[in-house]
Amino acid sequence: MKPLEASDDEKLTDLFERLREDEAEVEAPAHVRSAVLAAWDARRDPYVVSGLSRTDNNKTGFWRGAAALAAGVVLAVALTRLGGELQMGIAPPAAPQASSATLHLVGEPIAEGEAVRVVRVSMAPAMLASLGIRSTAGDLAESVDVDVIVGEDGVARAIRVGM
Amino acid sequence: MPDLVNPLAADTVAQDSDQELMRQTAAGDRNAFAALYQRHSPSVYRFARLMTGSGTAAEDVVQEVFMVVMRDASRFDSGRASLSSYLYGIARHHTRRRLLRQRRFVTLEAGDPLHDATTDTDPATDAVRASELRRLRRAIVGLPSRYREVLVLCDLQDVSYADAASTLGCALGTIRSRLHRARELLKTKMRRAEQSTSVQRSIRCAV
Repeated sequence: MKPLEASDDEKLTDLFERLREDEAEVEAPAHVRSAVLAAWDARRDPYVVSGLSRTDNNKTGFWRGAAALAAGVVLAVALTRLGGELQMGIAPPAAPQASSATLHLVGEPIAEGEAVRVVRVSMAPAMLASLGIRSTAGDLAESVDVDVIVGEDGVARAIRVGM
Repeated sequence: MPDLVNPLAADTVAQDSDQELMRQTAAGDRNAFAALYQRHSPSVYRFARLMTGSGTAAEDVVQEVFMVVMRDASRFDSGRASLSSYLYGIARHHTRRRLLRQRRFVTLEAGDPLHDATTDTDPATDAVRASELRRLRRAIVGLPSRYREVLVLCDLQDVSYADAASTLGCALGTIRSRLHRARELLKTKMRRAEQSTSVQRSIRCAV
């Protein structure tokens, strides 16, 4: 390989200087700041919409989240059953499409543009059954993969159960 | 919720030290958090952009970094590292994760006006300078990440060797040797790129 020359060093120094000048005014677009501050607001006041008082106590927040998740699951199951009963009186349902998963919506709806995270957990089928959700994996399976879709405020928005 | 920050309060917090702003952020002060963002997001963004070669990826990294700040502000220990080092450390972690996920380096985005920004009025000089800077950016993105991060921090972000060592979790001597190696690699890459351009020009002339 060709030995490095002093002129290479000077040229590189000059290029670095120009690149620094070029970068000096560069900053993240305004929408990034808006998104970050919106995430702050959502994180600090996740319960304002539902009228619950805010608290910084993490333990209380956890139990509230868990209660919201459980309530959401119960609501989803109730609505599913109600929908099924209504359908029975109207018309025979079309043949169901083969699907690999069922999505249960819980908690607040996912806001447009909201960055959600998917957290995969393994649960025993019995645990799922106690929440009113049945997996076709049945009781024979040791565990079922459940995807929990978590919003920016750390509260679950939906769960997806592999069938 | 509207994207508003109390201007009077913002003026006051803008004078506060990083440590004080982190303390206020941990206590839930939105203005302090906004001031931290205002103060540090440009350098985090530039670092991530130079590391990934992508403005979009850098935007994601900035968001990730400040999500960590809002979540873990109370854990920040100013006795261990400066806030800049702490933020660069988080940015580095997310940049690496992103690059590992993609299993390849992101190519430089075309059409980003910032990449070609020059101040010269002579169009020919502008074109040459823009071309050189583009080549340099490509060469930087093409460096192995352990060399690239040292070069970006020390040579392009003016971070001290000691802060870079703190950010990257390695010894001062390692920073020096990596920086030396990074510059050597960069010079080689730049020389090759220049030769390649000259050959292409010759071929064009011959045709």
